[in-house]
Amino acid sequence: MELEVSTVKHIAHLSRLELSDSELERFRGQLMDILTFVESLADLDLESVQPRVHAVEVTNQFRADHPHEPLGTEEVLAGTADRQGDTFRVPVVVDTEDVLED
Amino acid sequence: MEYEVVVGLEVHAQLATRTKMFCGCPVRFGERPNSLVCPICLGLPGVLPVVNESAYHMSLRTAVALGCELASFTKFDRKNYYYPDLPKNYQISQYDLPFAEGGSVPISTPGGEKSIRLVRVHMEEDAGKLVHTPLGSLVDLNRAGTPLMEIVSEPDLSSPEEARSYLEELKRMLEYLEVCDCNMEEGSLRCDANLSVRPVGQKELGVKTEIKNMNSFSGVEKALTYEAGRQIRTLVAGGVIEQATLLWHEDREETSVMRTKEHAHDYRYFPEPDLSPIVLDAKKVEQIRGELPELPRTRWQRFQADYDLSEYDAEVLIRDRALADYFEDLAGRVGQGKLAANWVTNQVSAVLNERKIPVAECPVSSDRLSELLLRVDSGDLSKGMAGKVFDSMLGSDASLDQLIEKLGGGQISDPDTLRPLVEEVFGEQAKIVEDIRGGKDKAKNALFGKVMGKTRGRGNPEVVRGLIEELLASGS
Ligand SMILES: [Zn+2]
Repeated sequence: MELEVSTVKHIAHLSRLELSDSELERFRGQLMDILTFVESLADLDLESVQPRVHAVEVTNQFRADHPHEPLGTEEVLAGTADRQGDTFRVPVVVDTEDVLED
Repeated sequence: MEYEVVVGLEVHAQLATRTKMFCGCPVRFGERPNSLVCPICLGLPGVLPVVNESAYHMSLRTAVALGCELASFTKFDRKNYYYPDLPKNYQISQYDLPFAEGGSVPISTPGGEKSIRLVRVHMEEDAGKLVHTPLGSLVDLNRAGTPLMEIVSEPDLSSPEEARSYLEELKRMLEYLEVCDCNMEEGSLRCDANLSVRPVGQKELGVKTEIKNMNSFSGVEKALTYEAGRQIRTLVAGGVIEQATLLWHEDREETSVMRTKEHAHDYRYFPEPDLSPIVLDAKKVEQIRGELPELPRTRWQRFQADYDLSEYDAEVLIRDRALADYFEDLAGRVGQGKLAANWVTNQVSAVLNERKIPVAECPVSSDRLSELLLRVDSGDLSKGMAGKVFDSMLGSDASLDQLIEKLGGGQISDPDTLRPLVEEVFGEQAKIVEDIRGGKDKAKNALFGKVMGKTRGRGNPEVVRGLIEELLASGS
């Protein structure tokens, strides 16, 4: 199956990956191999086969609404490189434009 | 040209479970940041989420009450996007097989009842909380994984007022169903809106904008009024509406365009491999249907019919299920719906509002209030006195009689007050007096009854009898 470089770039962007041109080419090839492999399913007669959403046939697994002990703030934050107070700090992710003018 | 407004709402209702959707972390508001977090809701490798059964059953109960069609087979999906409030880099939600579709919410409009159709209801998990500062965004994951129900309406709402009515009706339903505490300030009920305008008579919908960050019912109404006005003015001036996501600013009463730096609408949904699908249990559904409470709108209509209440009074009473229960108990004991409604909507509500307490904590129980109202109904107590007695009931557990006595509104025991009344009766009932003097002792009861009538039952019987004897003896 053919894959455009732009598609690979888009997928890389969605996964927040920065790829060099040679990497783009390399992954394009690998992705095409994967898709071609999956495409081989089209050779089968699947007319009477129902789509499946899961690999195993287990259904209706629930847990009771009972609380467990959380980790606790200190342990949760123990591995973070950038902590402020009791929170994780990350680069600013949102900004707003000025008020919409009529 | 005249324009009409078209609104559809997406409501996120936090399910009133004790724990999160897929792990046992407690769901609580206002705790120390990142203290209600475990490896599952933190999205650490190797963990397995499991569906909270209560969350699923609450969702089912809601869908049954909303008249939705329940899917015989439903599953969860991963909605993939990168955002720091989402530790797994995907949100577990439902995509193509939501557990419920269709259904409706009835609302009142100036033109009569209108049914707002629903597109679907699905379950999902909440994200964490972000606080944006100039030096970075601060992440608290306590809320991450909290069970949510997303209720999506068709664009059937024709005004900001209708949108508000819809929200209020939905909120009441969720409260009656006990599936959500509907606290908009704490975010347990959230609402996003899609709004477009079009010339009256035009079939095609106009370009819509999405409005977020509305944190109160009045905020929703104001934000939609603002946005509808903006769109109409833009079109009238020859401009075009651009599709955008807008943030409502309650303080400034205006919107701004939301710009997430990386806003991907390509969510690449796929079935959540860590969770098994759910097959509908028809027996469970029947059980839920059998246990549904009377819904607020039905109750509203019944209150008007059964107790002869106005639409407004009935509405005030049903707004809060516990208050409606209190009223019904009271009305049943007193046998006077209107009298009970007046007291609940006035005196009782005033106390609850003033003290900011739920009706369950009202110092005067419906049982106790009924004793008081029975006296009002029989004419034993004047309205003014009843109000005073009620006020003293708030701070005292003394019996009704003791309170009335203390306020001097009960029995009249002072002979100087009673004597003129007895004399009056002697004057009016000369024949009876003569009979008694002639030996008809039993006729004293008739005389006694007349005096008590004049005191509206408040005369102290012993004192009254003593005064009658006294006057008989004096021969006057
Ligand atoms: Zn957890």
